[in-house]
Amino acid sequence: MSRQVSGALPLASAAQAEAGSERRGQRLLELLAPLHERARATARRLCCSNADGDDLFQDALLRAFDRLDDLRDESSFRSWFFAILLSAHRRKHRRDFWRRLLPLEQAREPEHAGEAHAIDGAERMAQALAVLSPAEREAIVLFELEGFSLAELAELQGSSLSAVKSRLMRARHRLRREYRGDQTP
Amino acid sequence: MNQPRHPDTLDPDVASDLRALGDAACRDLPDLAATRRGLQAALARRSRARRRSGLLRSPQAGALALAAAVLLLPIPRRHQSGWDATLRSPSGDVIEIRVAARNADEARRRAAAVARTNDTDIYISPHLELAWSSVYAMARDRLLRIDVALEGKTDEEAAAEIRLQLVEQGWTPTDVNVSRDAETIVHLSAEDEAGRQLRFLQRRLGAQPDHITIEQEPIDQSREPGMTDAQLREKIVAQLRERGLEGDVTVEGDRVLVRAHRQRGAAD
Repeated sequence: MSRQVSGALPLASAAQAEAGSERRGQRLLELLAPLHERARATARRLCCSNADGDDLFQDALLRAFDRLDDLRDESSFRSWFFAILLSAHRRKHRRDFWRRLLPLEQAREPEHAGEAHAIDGAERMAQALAVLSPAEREAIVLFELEGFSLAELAELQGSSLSAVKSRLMRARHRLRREYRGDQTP
Repeated sequence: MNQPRHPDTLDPDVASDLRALGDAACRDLPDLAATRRGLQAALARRSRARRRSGLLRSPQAGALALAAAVLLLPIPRRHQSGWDATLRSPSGDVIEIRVAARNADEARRRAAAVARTNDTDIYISPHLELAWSSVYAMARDRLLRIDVALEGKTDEEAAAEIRLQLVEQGWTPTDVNVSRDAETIVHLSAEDEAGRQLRFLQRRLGAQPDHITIEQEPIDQSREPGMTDAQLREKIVAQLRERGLEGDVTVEGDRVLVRAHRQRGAAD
């Protein structure tokens, strides 16, 4: 009867595991190459911050690495990877919620903090976008900027088409209101 | 860069700034090679973290950590640091001094040197202090270590060397014998200032060793509260058995007599 041995693997097994990990990483990067820049930019847009977006992309990349064996059809890699990116985005948002409860000095300083500069349009848009819920922000970014269709958006968000349409409409309305500083509901 | 679709749904200025935000996200994008390096580094970090957490979570590591904590946790104990000597002169003057010595006889001799007169009464008692120490440190202190190189030494010289090392470690030797014929036999008995008895017998057949090495904890002959003679005898026999020794143990009140010998077939 074979016996499971936990802890240190035999050297041969460790080398095999390392080789397997190398192959999987290579395969992931090959699949990612055609949409690499786009996925990275989407992550930044979802976070309204380049630094946070890079962290989000890295997080999604690791999750994709772990789940690559679940990908049956390589032609659906784009929607598969973006679904992982959105999932990581939601998770990050939940994590960031708890950050609000930290003492002020531990909370992250916003980028450009302390610099005397006028708020330009892009920055104002980033602030307005950041106020939206994660699902609303995803709807705006993916539909308005990334060119995903409503049906793709519905699949990525795991929602019905009608739910996505109403979410998108609500997101536009809130974005406009936040962008103009309009306090009326 | 994609243009915002459905411009009619967003005001032109909103759409324009949304596009500007989209453009800003494309600045200084890391290339695929940087992504590859980042993935490799993240996997390596995660692997190290998992190894660490796996090590900490394993039951063996937990038991080891607990054992280490118990061994290293300081506990109070009384230990002897020198001797207190009370000198009383014929005229009734009393002087108390502290003497560093290996044993009571040496302490008495040193105290006598201070008194300078032969008619001074000298009382010697161990100077005991309360100290905090770990179980590990106590065990290390209690462990007897003797190592004697036999080359060029007669049996008597080897025995004398053992006696000297016993004294250096706070033991007063009562009987030390070394004999090397067909087999090498080392037998010693000693006691310390706290009354602990030490008995050791080593018998080795075959080629004569070039070293005598003894490293062991003394037999604990202390009587715990309520312990009968039979129970104390059993306690001593059990310790002998653990060391591969058989013993004729006699306990009668304060008198404890142990004659230990190597169990048949037991390896050295």
